Amino acid sequence: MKNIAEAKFNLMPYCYLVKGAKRAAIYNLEDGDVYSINEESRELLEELNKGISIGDSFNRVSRHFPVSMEEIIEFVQELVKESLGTIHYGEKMISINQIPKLEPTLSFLWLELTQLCNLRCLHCYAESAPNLSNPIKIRESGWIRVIKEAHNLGCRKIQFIGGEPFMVKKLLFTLIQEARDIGYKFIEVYTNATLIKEQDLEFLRNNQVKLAVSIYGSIPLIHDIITQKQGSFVKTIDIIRKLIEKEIPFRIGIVEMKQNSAFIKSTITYLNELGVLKKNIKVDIVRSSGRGCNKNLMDPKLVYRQSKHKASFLKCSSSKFQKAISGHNCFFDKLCVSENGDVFPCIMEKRVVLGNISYSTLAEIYNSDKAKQTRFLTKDKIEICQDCEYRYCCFDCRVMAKSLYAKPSNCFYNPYTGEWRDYNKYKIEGGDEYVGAKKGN
Amino acid sequence: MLELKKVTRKQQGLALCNPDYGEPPSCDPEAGCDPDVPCDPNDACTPIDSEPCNPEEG
Repeated sequence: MKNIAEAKFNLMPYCYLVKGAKRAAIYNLEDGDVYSINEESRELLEELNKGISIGDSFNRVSRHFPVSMEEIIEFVQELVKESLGTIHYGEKMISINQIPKLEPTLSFLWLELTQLCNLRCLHCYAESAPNLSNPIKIRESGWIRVIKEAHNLGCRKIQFIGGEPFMVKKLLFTLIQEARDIGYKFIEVYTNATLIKEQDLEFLRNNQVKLAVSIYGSIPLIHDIITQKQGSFVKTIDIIRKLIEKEIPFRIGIVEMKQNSAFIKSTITYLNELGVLKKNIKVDIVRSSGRGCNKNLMDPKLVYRQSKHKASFLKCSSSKFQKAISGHNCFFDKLCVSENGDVFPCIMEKRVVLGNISYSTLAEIYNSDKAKQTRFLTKDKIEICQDCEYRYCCFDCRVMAKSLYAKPSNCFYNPYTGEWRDYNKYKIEGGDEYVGAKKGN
Repeated sequence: MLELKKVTRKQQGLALCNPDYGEPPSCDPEAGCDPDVPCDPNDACTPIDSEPCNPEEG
């Protein structure tokens, strides 16, 4: 029988050890699981990965921290049990699969057709309202040019948003038709649905348009408080019923804030009873953009609950990992053109203007150095996050950070200590401030 | 003391996600999605992965 001390251990070719300032994480890209390991485990793995035996690794690491050979064997067996590594007696090292960086392609385009909206939602990222002075800055021909240019860049998904896109219905329908004729595979309109008329539904269906509809409560009182428009709930629900009846695909977006936080469950139940599938209902957090920066939308408990305050991440597939090492999870393949022609990396990230379609082609803007800076903004370039072992599995919403290169304010992990800030500490440290409010907007 | 702790979880059907964005994870089997398992919006963990949802996949 072979002596296990003479055996060698290797991580599997699909497993990656990502080091943080204090701890580390093992990414299993075959099943997507990520494992957190402490400093000692990291040091041991680094020794083992050099191709030396388990026994020799024990001799080396036991000089730095107290550990027994039994503990090491148990740890190695645990890694094998979790399919993270293998024990062998051969000389040959198992090499880790190399993951090449992705080549960027524009895949998704937002067009903010207008800043006008018939509602005035408390949290509106675009600060839309009914009575804005809003002269048309981009004409129909300008929008059509952008849609064509984006298609030439490889883009096949487009979303019309605003403001409320149905405020400029004629333009909206022309552009939908254009996008359909050019060959976009996915066309969506993000809307409050209150301005949609029954006769519009036929056009939407014929052009295979999908809708995304905002709802904030299960009763008029809650919804209308947030939209600041009495009667908006009734109108939106009326259209939702018609969408179900006419089998037009749509999804619901609920943004959770202090005003409706207690009603999220009942809203989902209500929509479900109307016939909206649960998988088509998404609850989102308030993003620190536009009126979303208003701290009156949040209370400390909600801020804390909507923060990253414990190690719990979505699985990290190899494609997700590949994207994370290549660029930013959103900016990598998306662009937003606003109603005045300014181009941004995201509808919510308005701190960086990449260009304006009145003065440049979309391709020029897409290929500019400025666009590349945001596109290739991996967590390796973000302050503090660059020292975090979770940097390739943790989703990054830039608007939740005070500056373009700052750690998101809603992350409560300290990679230098390997600790998560708890609620009590958060309160003591003045946690009643909403991250958006800190931006000074 | 050596330590190994799994920190990933299965995606749940009602994960918080920005409707204005692209991308999964709610219907991405690769990301471990299970659309039939709704999560509790009052569960403290839900906003952690406020990843964009894929409008194409609902």
